[in-house]
Amino acid sequence: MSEGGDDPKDDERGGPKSDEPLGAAVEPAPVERAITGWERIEGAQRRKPKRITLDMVGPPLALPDAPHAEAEAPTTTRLALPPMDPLSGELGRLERLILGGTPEVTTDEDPPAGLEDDGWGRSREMPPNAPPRPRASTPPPFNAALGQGPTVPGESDILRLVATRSRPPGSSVLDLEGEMIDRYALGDFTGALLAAELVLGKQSDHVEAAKCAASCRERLCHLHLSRLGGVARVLRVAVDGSEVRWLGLDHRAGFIMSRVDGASTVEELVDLSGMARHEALKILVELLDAGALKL
Amino acid sequence: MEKVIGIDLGTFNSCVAVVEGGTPVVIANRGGYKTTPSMVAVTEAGKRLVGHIAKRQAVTNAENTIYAAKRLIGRKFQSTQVANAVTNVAYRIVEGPHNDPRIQIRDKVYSVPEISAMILQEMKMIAEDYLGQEILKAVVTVPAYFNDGQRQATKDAGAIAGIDVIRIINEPTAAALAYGFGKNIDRTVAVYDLGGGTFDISIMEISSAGVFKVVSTAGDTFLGGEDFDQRIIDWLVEGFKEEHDIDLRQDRMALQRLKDAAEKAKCELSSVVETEVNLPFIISSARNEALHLQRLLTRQQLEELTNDLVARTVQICEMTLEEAGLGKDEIEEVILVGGMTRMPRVQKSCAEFFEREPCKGVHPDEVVALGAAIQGSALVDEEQDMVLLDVTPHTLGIMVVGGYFEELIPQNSTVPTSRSKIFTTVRDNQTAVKILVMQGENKRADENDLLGEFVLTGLRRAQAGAVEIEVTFEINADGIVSVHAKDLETSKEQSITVTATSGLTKDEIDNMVAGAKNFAVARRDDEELERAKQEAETLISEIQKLLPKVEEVVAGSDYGKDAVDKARVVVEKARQLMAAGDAKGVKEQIEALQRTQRMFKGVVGKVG
Repeated sequence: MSEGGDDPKDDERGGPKSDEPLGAAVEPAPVERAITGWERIEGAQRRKPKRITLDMVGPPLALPDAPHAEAEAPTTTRLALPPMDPLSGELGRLERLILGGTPEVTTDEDPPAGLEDDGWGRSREMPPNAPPRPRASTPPPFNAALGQGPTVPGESDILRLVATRSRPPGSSVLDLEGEMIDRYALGDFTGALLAAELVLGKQSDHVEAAKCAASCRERLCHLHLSRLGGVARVLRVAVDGSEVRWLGLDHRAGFIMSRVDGASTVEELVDLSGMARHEALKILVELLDAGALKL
Repeated sequence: MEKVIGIDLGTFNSCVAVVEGGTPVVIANRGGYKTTPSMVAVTEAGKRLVGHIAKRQAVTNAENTIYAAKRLIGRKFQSTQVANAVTNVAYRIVEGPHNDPRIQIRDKVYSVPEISAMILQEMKMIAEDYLGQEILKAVVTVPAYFNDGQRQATKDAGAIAGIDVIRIINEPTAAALAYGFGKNIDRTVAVYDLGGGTFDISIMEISSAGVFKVVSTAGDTFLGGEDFDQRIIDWLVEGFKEEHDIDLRQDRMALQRLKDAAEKAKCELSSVVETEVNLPFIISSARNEALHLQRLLTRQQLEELTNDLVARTVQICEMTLEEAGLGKDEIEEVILVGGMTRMPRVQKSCAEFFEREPCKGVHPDEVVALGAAIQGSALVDEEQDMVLLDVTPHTLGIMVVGGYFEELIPQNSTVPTSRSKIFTTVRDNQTAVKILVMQGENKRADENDLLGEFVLTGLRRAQAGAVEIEVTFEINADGIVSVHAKDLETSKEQSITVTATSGLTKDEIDNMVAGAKNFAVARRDDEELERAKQEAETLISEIQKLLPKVEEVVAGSDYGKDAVDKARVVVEKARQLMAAGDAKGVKEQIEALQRTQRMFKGVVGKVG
């Protein structure tokens, strides 16, 4: 793995040469359109994206039945997808790579008989002449009346975005900014936020990333609050004290749960958590879903 | 009759009480607790938290949570106490423009009276919610050792909070009042006050004339319930470390939970002999495995862990009695004050030392506030015969040759009062004298507090000791000290009026008063909006439950369809108003929601 695109395999993959500016070489025109959309909404100056080249190819970030998915499926190596990670795919691995971890690498051999690549880098059993898999659903647009953040395009826009995404699937280049924009357009605000935070980690004054991160946080809070029924709702512990330890929480969830006293509102619990608002709300939603808390 | 509340503004906990129908009662806060932590915090979002909510995030937001501001109030930035605090607290203490300590929370710097005002404002709101009327007057208690500057700073804090502090009284005096002393009783009592963060012992002489004289007072401003909690935390942390090789002190969330659990266990062990500390998912191991803390703590273990702390309080009691020149047998009553005195070991040690059982019957957490409320009620109720005379908390005097302090008005003198003394010049041909007005009990002038200074000039040239100057100290009923120096031969005189200062200018106080008022208004508005929102949410929920049934009933009828559409519009409008935070609009919309709900109920009711 290297940063800067000096991987000899780049040529084979049709990727950029080591002395070429990576962003310029791989960026097709439609991406510019997607980014322009962002600029129009946010009114921000787009920076030239920094790119990171890895000596492996990640799974294409496209819907399974998107035009590029099958045609340009990766043929060299592929990263194994962590099953539970909401930030699966390149982004999750990228985070590990940046944080210094070693990515789990599997050899990309032909899938066993009867198994086909589902377009996400996973081998699945596919019946012959199987109909296309349903498209991922996109969350409803954020209330534009509140005037916060860019509007999420309609479904047709999203599909166009996906089809003409910032980099062709199978490209060796991991484009954080592109990832951020794509995830945002798909309504994956958690993924977009992580991408934005990674961009900000490398370049703290990155205006678009800061705006994207703020908008993602806002939207995530909105989503979580709609599940919790508003900031004024009072949460109660739903399980007996002796059964709490069977819930399989982590220490952060354990901490938030310890703050729930049957009198504090959602807003107060967020204040008490000492965590970022969207993180605290996410944990409360998870606790609610796990049956640990009740409204 | 106007209501006057009594506020015990404690270092770690505060309490508010009022006299109702002749009986003093403590007012519980919204959470149902009768004491409120004297803590103020500002969250990352800039929201101000006061009381329990601030305490419950004190460790995870340590840099922005202020506690024990009372240790700093009215002191100079260079004082030993402030220097101690700077090294002991997680929040930032900076030097203010008037040589006073100020506290930085996030990007804003607050004066100490401002922080105390936030707590007083909270206590005021608790009382107002309970009484259903605006409260403007209060009696606030302070430790007996507070000097004029500290007392004035406390008064300023009251003013910032929108309270007229009609009297400042000593905490032991308030406790004695609550126990029923002061009514035709002449007695010497010891007030043993072990609170959340401080320990005070005061020996008082109570006369049937209503004079509460603090004969001797001492204490430790860094000894209290927090130290007991810390011993439990250390014990839990060490046990966990032995078991898992993980130091829980390194994790703020774990530490916050430990602190809460330690306090809870300590309180429980006052009534039971053992308790379990159970903290599931306290921390995650390196293998990302959640670990739990579960330990049994007995009362005996707690007593062993805190034995030295209790012994230290007894040691201070011994010193104080010695200072007062009294024997244990001369103490006729022992009054226990502060939550920590509920600990059986503390009660036992106290009884053993004073060789008598302490007074029981009044909750030690509430006794000071109750006493303040009794005093407040007596001040506005002309029919009450109780007279509590104001006394000077410290000795007043001037500095004389050799750097010594010459006393003019002794400690515990009832006010108003006036005393004079004649002094002479100390050098030949001395034509001027400098009068340094001081307060304190130390024989060395530089160890007392300087209140003010002035120069008397134009003295006759004469040998040392030949010119006589009369110095007069006068304290009026409002506690204002005037000092006059007069050349007895020429009758030439100079004077100074000493006004206690808290370190804040009038303009600063005025600005703070306006700020606090705006905050109070905004908070009330928020509460109003929240109440309206909750009511609207309930109505919307009921309407939505009825909607399918109503649609079924009116299906096919144009009139019915119109009604359903209108109901939808009403609900949508209410939601928009709630989202916009329009309290007035939501309140108005509630009426429309109620009409819709009634109509829907009627429709559904008709068809059974």
